[in-house]
Amino acid sequence: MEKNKNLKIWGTLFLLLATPLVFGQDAPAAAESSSFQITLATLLYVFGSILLVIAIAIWRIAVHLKKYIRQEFKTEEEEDRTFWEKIFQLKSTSTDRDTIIDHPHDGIYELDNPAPPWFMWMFYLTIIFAVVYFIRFNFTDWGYTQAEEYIEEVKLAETEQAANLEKAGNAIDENSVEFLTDEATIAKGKAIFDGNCQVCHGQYGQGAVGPNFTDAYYLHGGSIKDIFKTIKYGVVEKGMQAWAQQLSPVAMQQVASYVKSLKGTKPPVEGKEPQGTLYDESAEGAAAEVTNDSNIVATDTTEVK
Amino acid sequence: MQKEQFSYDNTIVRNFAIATMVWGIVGMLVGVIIATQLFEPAMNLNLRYVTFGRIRPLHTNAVIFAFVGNAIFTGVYYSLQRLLKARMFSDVLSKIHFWGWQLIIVSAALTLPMGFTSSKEYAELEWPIDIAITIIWVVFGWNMIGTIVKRRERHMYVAIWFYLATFLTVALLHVVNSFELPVTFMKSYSWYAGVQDALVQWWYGHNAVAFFLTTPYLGLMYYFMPKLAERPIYSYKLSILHFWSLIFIYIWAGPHHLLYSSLPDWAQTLGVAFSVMLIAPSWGGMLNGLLTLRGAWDKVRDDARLKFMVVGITAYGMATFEGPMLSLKNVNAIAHFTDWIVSHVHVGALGWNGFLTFGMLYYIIPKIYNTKLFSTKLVSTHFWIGTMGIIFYAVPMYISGFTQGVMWKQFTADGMLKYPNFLETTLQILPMHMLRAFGGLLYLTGVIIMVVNLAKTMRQGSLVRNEEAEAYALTKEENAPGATYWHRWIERRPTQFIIMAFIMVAIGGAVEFLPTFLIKSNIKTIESVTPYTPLELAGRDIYIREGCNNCHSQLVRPFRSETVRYGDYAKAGENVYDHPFLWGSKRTGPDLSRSGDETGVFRKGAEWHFKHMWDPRSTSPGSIMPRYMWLYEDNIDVAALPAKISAMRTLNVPYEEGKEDKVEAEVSEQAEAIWKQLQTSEKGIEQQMLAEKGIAVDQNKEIIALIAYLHKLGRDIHPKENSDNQTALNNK
Repeated sequence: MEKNKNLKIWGTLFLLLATPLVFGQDAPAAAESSSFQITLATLLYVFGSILLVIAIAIWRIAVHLKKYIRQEFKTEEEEDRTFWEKIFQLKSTSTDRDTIIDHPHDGIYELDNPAPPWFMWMFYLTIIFAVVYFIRFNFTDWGYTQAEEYIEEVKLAETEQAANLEKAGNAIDENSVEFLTDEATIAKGKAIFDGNCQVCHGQYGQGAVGPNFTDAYYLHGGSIKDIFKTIKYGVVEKGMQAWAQQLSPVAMQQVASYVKSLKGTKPPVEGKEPQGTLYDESAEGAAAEVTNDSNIVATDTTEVK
Repeated sequence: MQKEQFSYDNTIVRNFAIATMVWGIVGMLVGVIIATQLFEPAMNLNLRYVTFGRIRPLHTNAVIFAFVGNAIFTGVYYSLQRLLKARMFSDVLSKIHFWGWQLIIVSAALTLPMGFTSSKEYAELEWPIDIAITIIWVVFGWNMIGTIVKRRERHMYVAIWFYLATFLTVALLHVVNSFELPVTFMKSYSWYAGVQDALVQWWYGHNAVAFFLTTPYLGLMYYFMPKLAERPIYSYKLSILHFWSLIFIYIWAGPHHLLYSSLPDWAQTLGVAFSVMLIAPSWGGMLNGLLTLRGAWDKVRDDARLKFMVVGITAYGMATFEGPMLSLKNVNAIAHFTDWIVSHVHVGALGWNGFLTFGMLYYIIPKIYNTKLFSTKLVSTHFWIGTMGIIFYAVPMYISGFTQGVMWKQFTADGMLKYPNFLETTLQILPMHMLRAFGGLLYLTGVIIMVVNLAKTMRQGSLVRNEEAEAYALTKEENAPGATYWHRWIERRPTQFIIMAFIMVAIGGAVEFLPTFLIKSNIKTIESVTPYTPLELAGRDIYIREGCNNCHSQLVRPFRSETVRYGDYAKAGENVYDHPFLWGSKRTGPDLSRSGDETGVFRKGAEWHFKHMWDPRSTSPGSIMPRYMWLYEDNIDVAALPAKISAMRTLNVPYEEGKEDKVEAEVSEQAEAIWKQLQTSEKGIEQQMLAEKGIAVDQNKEIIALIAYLHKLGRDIHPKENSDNQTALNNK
């Protein structure tokens, strides 16, 4: 206790005296090349500080002496405590003989020590935390429900997403999608296909559960716009899932291009029988009108509810 | 005054100790087996009886109720007699308790692999076994309280407070949570539905941890720790403080298992608040245990039994600090449903329960056999192997849980899920699952070493069946010398003590249950939600039988990452006909509650399910889901459905009168519709089945009912949009 008090006094004093010196550092720096000068104010400050330190030291010594003379100086138990006992605010084992409860149960004794103060503080703090927490979330405007938290999260994400899409020029949809045949696009499209589509459409697009892409027949249209739309919204009742949430517009354009590029390829394994109607490449323009069906846009599943 | 002569019953202690060891090995072995199935699904050898969904409950039940349960009884029967200076109340009751409990365990070990399960976690056993548990538990309490009544020691030591609280609260938890309506022998439906069932279940589940894995072990710690360390308990006052605060606060914290669910917000925050307050009462136990070692730490260096105690108590301290942290909403948002939780409970189970049990057994066996341990070196070996086991278990699982939890939540800059395919996140953590299995194997090896060591110890000594003792009879004197502290009053009055403890544990449950059950606004109904059709109900029972809920949740939480992945977040009104609820507590596979939402992103067609359940790797390469080939062989149990419909009506599910007679027709109509969907293009897989198993599938097989059930999940929440969507598709 005594030691702590001393530490506090000297520590405070040191910090108080040191503060002006810290600020003082700016002055020489500002003066740059001008020579170092001791001003009268600095001199007075240093002398004053020394006098103050001496005065306090004398005062502390006097207090100690008084205690020493009156035999109030440190009890034995304080001396005995080990480092860890001090850290954990525990009584020393040497006090056990005073605190033992003289009533063993099957040879087991109990000590009458108090709970360590830090433990009690921890208990009080958690109780305060709990009370504040409960009041905050149930009775004040400061709190929020999980539904409100969700709405906030989605709103934030939508703003960010819109900004990002704009920045990336990523606003491809079924109206603006283009059939890209460059090598990079097809390679990326193939990678997406291998990761997501081949389970149902076969490794080479030869068809399995899903239809064959290597023939000229399509169930939902063979134009790049139709393929993009089928990927984006899915054909849920037939098992084709909507990918709008899983693939970015650019990615959907890539995989749609890859799928279209498969037409006419010869898979090394036998493909599924043709399904749907023969797609005529020259009628590309005519097929586009289907994509403008407003009903479909109204059920856009990309919108997060 | 003359001292009375009597003897302690050591036979019953020995019996429970042997049962602890046997069931410990069985339970942990099952644990290792299912751990291997989580990276190599074929480890179930394609047998339904050893498939993860069925034997994961066997593992949890075996280690909790068989291993830990028998260990509790070992320790209680040993310490209670000595602390009260009295033989157990009745040797007959002791025997009934012992054999009854073992019989319950055997019946669990038989029925769970057969698929008889209520699906409620840690309470999976079906109703006849539930009744047996109740009876045997009462026998235990009767025997214990009887011993207290005829005691020769006026004051009940702190260990006994914990034993009494355990008995009382477990009885309360078990009875309330097991309210179920029997349909047939070995099949019942929970009395509660949906959110209410979830609340009751996690009030039970959380407090099973509190009053089966924690309070009895604190009692054991208060006896065996000072015995091993030969030091006094650090603080009597702290034991009073942490005992009462622990039993009072623990019971409120259950809702932290249901954060971000459709449980009302007020109940969730209440659960969090009380969880945070639990830190100090839990740590009070840890402190009193560890501080008892003051001045005896040198003994820890030499005595591996004390090492077990120290690591066990430290594990308790870590787990009870982590628990409140996990209940904070922002931590829970990442950790829930992941391996993090599995790691958390295993630090508690392997560290606290396991290690304390080992320390205790190494103390008791030489004592009652009047000999020394066969080998103290082997104890030390066991300690180090066990510790390595815990580390190899916990660390990979923390990494795995955190990794997967974060992966589920990640978005790309475009606002797309970074890992839209759930499977990617699973494949990422498989190496961690392998390490975990290795950790489990190490731990099991340690236990086997212990069993060998103790068996040798038993052989070199001889059991002192009736240990002679003497003590003065209890006098009528009210104020024993030195008994001035206020709490001494209740310590010598068992009746008042039991009443007080009961009041303490009853308050929390009552405050949370009554409003949730009585105030309608807490569970908002949704008009469009309809009861299950008979076929869907049959499918649901298959889902329960196979334990699908052990790996798949049915609870989309209100996070963007979940609504984008699965669909709308969960609403309370969706589950009003769910007896029992099936929200699950772990996502080894993805959430399934939106499997039938036709407007959503998560619905898969009938064909997909048909293929997937036959061989999950055919649709999801690398998946760790087991194959469910028997669903293609066995017919739907249509004959059982009328009774199930009647039972559901009793539970307030609005089935019209006379529905029972139409069951057969409705089932075949709906099954036919699904069968037609499959007919279009499934020739390939049928051929494969024929080649592989010689199976001819038709619309009467169980797989059809399961598909019907999966397509019901989430279908009712968007009835209007669903029909709009249908119209749009039709117009096209």
